[in-house]
Amino acid sequence: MPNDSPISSSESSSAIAAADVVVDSLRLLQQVAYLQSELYARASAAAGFIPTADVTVFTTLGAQESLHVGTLATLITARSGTPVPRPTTFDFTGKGAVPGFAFATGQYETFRMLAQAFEDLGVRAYKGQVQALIADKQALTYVLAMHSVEGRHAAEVRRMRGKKAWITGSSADDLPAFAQAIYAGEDVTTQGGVNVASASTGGATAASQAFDEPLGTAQVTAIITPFIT
Amino acid sequence: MTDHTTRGESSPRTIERVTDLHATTSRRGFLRLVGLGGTIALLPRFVAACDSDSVTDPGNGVPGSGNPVLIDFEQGDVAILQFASVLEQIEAAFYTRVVAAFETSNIASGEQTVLTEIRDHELSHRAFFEGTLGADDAVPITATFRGVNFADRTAVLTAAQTLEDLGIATYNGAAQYLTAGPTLLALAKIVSVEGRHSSTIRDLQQPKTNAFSPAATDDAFRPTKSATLIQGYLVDKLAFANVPSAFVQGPNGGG
Repeated sequence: MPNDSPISSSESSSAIAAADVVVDSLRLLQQVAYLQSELYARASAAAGFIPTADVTVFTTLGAQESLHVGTLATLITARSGTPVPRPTTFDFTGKGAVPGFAFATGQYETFRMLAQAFEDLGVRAYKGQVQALIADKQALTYVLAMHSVEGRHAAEVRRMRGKKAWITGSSADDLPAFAQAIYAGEDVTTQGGVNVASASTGGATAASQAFDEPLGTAQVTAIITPFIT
Repeated sequence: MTDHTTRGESSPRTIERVTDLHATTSRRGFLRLVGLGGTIALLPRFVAACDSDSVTDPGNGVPGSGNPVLIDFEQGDVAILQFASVLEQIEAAFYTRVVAAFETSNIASGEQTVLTEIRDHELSHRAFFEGTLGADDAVPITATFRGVNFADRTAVLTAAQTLEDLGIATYNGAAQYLTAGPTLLALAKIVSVEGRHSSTIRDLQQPKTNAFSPAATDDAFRPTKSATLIQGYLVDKLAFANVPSAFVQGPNGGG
């Protein structure tokens, strides 16, 4: 990684405060990336759990989420922050929100539901941090480079499940109830004062699909905490 | 229907200091000068191969053969919005032509639905930038898709993938020049949907492979690099003024 961070060598108090904000953002995203990578690692470790035809996709997802964890750790360290240690325990039932889920035979579709939920969450979580990174061009550009990949991931999982690649309104599709928080507020059809619903025959449906919305730190933390104990 | 015209033969001109060229006090004054008399001086005549039958299609004009479109980065965030607006106009025009060609194309109905939805998304993106920029800062362009056989599924999906990936790299690279948080957020709202588009287009071509996401991090291109590629889709002659010299590379480098 280039060592040209715009703020890493500054000693002024305002720069340190700014760096703290950046590190906090990166640490939040690291927790999301841990959750995602662990989901795929557990599924891959359960022999025969992922059908052969789907193995390539989930291997790719797992490898890229692991790389996100590492990239975020490197950015944090370069800003004199402390990367988040890998959680010692995960609970993929989300404290009972996904009852009995244990990567067991017959639970493959539940796994794919979690994958959809966590990838759509990733898109919104990364997006929710970009404004906090606006003064740190390197962190911003790296996070954006991961953020659009989260969009790729979400689309692939959704399509594998027979869903549209994009989010319509604030629909959580067929996901468990906990996931509704991941889609809350996605049904926006006016952007920056511009009504984008009248742009096409797709109307409000297309307008909501065309823009992914952010989720703030508190919302993301509330969603992921039950899964990371 | 196809030709061998190479995209990007004409690189955008980069003007370091507008004042070196014309002593003007306002951007609009400068734009008038370009429009009235400065065209040839600033924008050397673009020579392109014109021996292709696709040239006869009104939608396949010669890249760079038209009027100049100047984006002056001294305008700050407005310039980035204008650049994004150019991109979204191209994408909207592309998918509009894709949908218009369905009657004669070999694209199956399920994929037609997907491509029609993507068209509608791009129309929404285009409308957002038009509405945000307003009439004074609008940058209307004429798109061109030389060499793309819109009747052929493979040609359409290949071109769509190239365009989507270029859009992602353009947004990811240009974002670092924004100073207003809400504008940055607006671009981020769009670029993840472009990521969904690219993933979808790639999966249509190579289902359930690793094609949907070729790397853990997407590219981030500096505006001049994006513009060189975008020029291939523009009849207009894309020109930049006051491009920032500094660019912070993304994780993939090469931007």
